[in-house]
Amino acid sequence: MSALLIAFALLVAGFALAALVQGPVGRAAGFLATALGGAAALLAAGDVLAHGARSWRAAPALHLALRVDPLAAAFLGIVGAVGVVVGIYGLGARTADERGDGRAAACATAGVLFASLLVCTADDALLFVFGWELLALAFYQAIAYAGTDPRGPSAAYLTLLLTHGAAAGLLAAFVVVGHGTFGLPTLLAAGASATPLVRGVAFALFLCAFGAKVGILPFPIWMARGYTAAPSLVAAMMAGGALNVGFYGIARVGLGMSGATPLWWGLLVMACGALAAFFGIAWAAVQRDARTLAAYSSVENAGIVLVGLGVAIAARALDLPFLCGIGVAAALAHATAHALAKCTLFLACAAVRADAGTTSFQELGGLWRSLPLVTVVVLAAAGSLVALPPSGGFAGEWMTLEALLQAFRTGNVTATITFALSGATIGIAAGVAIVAFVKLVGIGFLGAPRTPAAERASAGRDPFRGAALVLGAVGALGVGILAPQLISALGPTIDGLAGVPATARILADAPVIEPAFAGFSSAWPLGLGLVVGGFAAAFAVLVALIRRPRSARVPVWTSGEAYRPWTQYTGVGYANPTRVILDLAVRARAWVGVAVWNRIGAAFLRAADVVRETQSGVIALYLSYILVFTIVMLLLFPAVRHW
Amino acid sequence: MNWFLRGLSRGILTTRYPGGREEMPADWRGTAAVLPGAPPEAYERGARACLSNAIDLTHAPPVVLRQRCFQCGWCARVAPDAYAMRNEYELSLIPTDLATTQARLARRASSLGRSVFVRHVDGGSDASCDQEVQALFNPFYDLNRLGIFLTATPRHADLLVVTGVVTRAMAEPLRRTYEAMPDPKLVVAVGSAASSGSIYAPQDVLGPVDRVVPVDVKVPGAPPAPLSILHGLWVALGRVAAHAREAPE
Amino acid sequence: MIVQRADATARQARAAARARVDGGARFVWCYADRDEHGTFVRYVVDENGALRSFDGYLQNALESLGLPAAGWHERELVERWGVQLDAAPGEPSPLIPSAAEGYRHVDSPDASTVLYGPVRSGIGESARWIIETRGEDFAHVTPSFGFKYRGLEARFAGVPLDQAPFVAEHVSGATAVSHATAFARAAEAALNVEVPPRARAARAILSELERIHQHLDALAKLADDGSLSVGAAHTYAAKERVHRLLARAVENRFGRGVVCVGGTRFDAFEALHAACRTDLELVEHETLAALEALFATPSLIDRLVGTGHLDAATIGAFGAVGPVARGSGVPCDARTRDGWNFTSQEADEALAAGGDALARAQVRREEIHRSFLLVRNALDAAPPGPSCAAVPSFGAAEGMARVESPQGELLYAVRFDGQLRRVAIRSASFQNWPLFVPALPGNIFTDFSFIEHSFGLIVAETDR
Repeated sequence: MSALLIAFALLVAGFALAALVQGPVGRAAGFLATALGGAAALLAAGDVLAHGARSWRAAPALHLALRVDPLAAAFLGIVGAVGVVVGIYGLGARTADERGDGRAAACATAGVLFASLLVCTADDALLFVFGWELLALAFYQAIAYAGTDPRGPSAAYLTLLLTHGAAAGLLAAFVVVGHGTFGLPTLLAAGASATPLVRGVAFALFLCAFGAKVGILPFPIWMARGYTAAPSLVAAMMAGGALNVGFYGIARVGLGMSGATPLWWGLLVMACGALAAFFGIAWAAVQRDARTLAAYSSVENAGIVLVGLGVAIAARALDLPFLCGIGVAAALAHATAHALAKCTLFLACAAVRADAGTTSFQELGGLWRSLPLVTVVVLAAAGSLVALPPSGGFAGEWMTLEALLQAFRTGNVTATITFALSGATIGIAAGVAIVAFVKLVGIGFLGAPRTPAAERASAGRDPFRGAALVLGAVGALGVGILAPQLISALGPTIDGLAGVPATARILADAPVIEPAFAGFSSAWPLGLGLVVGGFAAAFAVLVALIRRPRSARVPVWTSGEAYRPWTQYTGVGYANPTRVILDLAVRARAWVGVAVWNRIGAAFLRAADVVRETQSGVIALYLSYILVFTIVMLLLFPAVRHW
Repeated sequence: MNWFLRGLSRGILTTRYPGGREEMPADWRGTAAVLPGAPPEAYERGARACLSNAIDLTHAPPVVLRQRCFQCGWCARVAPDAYAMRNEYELSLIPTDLATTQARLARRASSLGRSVFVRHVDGGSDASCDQEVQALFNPFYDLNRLGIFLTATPRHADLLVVTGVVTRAMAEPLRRTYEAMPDPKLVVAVGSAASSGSIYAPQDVLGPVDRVVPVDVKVPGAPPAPLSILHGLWVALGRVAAHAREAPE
Repeated sequence: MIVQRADATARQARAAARARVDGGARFVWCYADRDEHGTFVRYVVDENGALRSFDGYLQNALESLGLPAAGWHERELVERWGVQLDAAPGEPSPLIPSAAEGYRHVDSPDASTVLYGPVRSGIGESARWIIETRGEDFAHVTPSFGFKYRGLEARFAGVPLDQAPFVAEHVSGATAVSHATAFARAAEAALNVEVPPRARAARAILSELERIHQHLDALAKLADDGSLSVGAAHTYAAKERVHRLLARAVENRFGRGVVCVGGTRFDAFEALHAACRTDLELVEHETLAALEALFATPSLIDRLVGTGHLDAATIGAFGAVGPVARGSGVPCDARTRDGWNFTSQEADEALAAGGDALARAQVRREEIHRSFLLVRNALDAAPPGPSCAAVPSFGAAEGMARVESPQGELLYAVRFDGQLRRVAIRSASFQNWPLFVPALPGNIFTDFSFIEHSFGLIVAETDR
């Protein structure tokens, strides 16, 4: 527990230092605090996973109650790990898209980490909402103040609107479920006594609130703009770290609320996840900028995690505790893998932005020669996001699909159909993900430079950047290769939520992982890693040993003309067949924005127009309001007093 | 099925050449030849009739510069006692020294093995040479049976076939194509324009192919018959000796 | 036709030509020439089948005609003759290869540019296209030719009249007979030479045989594009038989060195008659059998349907000629306009209404059928008499003639002043290549060669 409190203290100190001390020192202080705070959070998580839940309570009236149980510890660990990597990167030189001397970015990063940790460990509903709003504010600062994008303020406004609206939903849900109490466990326990309708409404509100953060439909409209307006460094923290609080929330509510869990909760979460996965990656594949591609890829991966959580919730409803266990394990593994890979990807985008000036595909190319480390790191991160073995994304997605394959055990027709459709959708999404990331790596990094700016790119000599990128890439791959170790570390979380020793079943034949049902299927991530690595090493040795024939260096052959780099394949051209086939899905993005949000926004604005009329500023009108209200109160006073 | 039966009913159309004898039609115009013993005035009349200045009067009897002759037959019509059109089609020329070139070709060709890939480049032809090169792949000649194949990329090509005089705009693309081919490589110039520039004025075009890339075999004609081109390829591959070397201009 | 020099300015000539075109005439040509009085520009239009020309000396800048059909012609005036036109063209020159840096017609960040050519795959002529694409389709295509410019129009100057047809045969060797005939007829028109009927019959047979082998070439290339190797092999074999027939008859596989000013250089009719008596029937039978099988192959027809569609309005706006025009239902055959070369009956044009590659292929097939018919007509007519008329001595004269080459309407204009001074050539390919621009958008990359070979044009006679 003390480690967590130290983490909070460090982050507050870092925020203060970054805000008050001028120059690079302030910035470095902020990022150092992020790194150390993340490390402390990791320690706290490890401590809880090893020794059980911890809590800390200040005076009850202050609503300051923290509690770290295994579920919170898992997410503490994830967010903390991302904080460490981002913090180390931030210790390097200021990146080009940070405004001023970068202190705003440092403040924002520390703030995001602080708020994420607070949300994950809050034991009081008000503290939870406070943490959530703090997170929204930190996002606002990151998007509006920390970056140099002129569209920052409008993107920040949109983000704030949606996350604040999510907070409103949270508050409403808390009110609906628990009457009078604020303590989170009692609140969730109170849910048992509420009617199914009330619980259902509450769950739907929770899902909307947390879903807005992770980006289920129709909420992801803020993500692309938000993540590109914020400096990529801070976006790494946001997309890699803060995203996970949404998963934490859904896990906490879906699997933590007492009483019988209805089946439709799990199926709804699964359906939302599957749709998010499909649409997210369809939109990612047609993006022209690496950061928007990464942003929509987050939506896809969030969808996969949600499918895992949906399986767990549905299994809980159907009383299949081992299936619940594998669902939770899949969701956690994938969330970990995604957090590390996404944060690494955004950090690599920051490096590319700093060295080549842009992250737009049209203007990149040929970076494998000038930025070899970044290219390899992006390859590792992209491999994880595409679920290539033996990366973390593969482990997570494999487990998710294995959990879905257990549909035949549910014995429920609706559940079986939903499982099957979700599995199919994730399959399609995985395929389209390959297109999107081959585009990212192939058009952005391979080939020849498309513009003079890309030609002039040169890697900086920053040790912190290199260390952070390598650490992130190793993490993204390591989570996969060492998946059994990760699952055993998260054992308490999995078993706690499932209620049975599911981890033991998953790791029954360690180092192979199995989907909690013996004899069904298995995967050996370490073995896959060894095989891939072994083949690569053997090939390298073979190439070095075999004498190659005499070769000459000649220019590229292009129909007899001189080679012109602008005739290379563009990202749009490469993704064109995908865009044509997924045309309806791609166009749905505009539809979501226009049909849903514009209408809602227009309705609000109309209502606001009407309400504004009441505040006309005429004193006589205000006096008449008081008069009318007094008369009404006098008339109704007896009735009111009775009541 | 339709095509299959149709093909069977036609039988084999393919010539055996160069494995067997083949004839061109009796009056077919091969290259011009000087008939000895004609009066000088007849030689001069024929030489004046040649648009590509292929008749060299500085020797006695005159010499036909075979790389320039584009087989119009006008000299033979104008001065039938001085010139005649030979019916032969094995017209390939190799530059300068016959013996050493032949040996070099044979050595280089042996390293190519039994099958050869050909890349065609149009340096500025009048489209007839291209159609005759294309004709080599029709069932009558079927170059594939000799192990000669067409390739789209010079990176896989062993032999470069260039048709047409090289225009100024095509010089650089031709040179790039040549340089994109890996060693060992051969170049065959097909057509009188490719071999010598024939009727083209030097101020409007760059010139024959050997102004841009080194040429191993020249096949004169406008256009040369497919059998002539085939003979030229066979000479380039060192399978048969050329009959003649290029007369210096 | 004999051309009379008008006493007008280039501006007036341009206005008169534009007036005729607005009145329904088809724009045919505009070219420039230079004599001792200065540069003059001649406009040629086709009014109900008759050629009309308007010319005048250039005073200063000239107004553009504003017709898509005249686009490349005016480009040539500007780039090769230094004529000043009021409108500056924005596109890279189709006639002089340029660097094409930074040229963009499609104003969209999604479109990327690909340069296709000049050295292309397979055996083909050197030409380049600037292709703008959004991925797999054509957004815009700009032809960028001029790689085969050989200065042939200038080469004619000063060449003796008996050798000049050889230069014409070098303009486009594959359609050498059409070019030599067009040149010869222009000279004969200028010098008032009447070609004897025997020579006319020989020329008719040669040009129809040339039409057959060029159309077979285009159809064989289409079969090759459709990966129908067997079909292509049979069609190329049919083409080879025609070449062998010509080689047996007139000593050259393409019929070169036969046509001269005044007739033919030897008794070509007799040679053709002798060769055709033995061989024509087999050639005709094999050709028609191969065509029938080709057009009964659904895999090939599938690729041709709807590819490279051109509607009649576009054909009219661009002044297209030949099978390209006839494939969209627009009649345009020089043989009907100026009387068939030699036939005892009226023949009608082969028209198809589809406007796509299949329609153009069907037009070619119909024309092959008709050509065999015309060859037989000419052989049966067997007119006696000499094969060549004497050419009188000449001073200053000008003449113009047109023939129907396999690609379409081909015109030659010649000017003498004691010797051959200027030859101007308007080939069908020069008129038809600009139609690539409206034909390609909407098709995908793999359709390119189908469209190119369904046009069946020759770059050599475009670049000259």
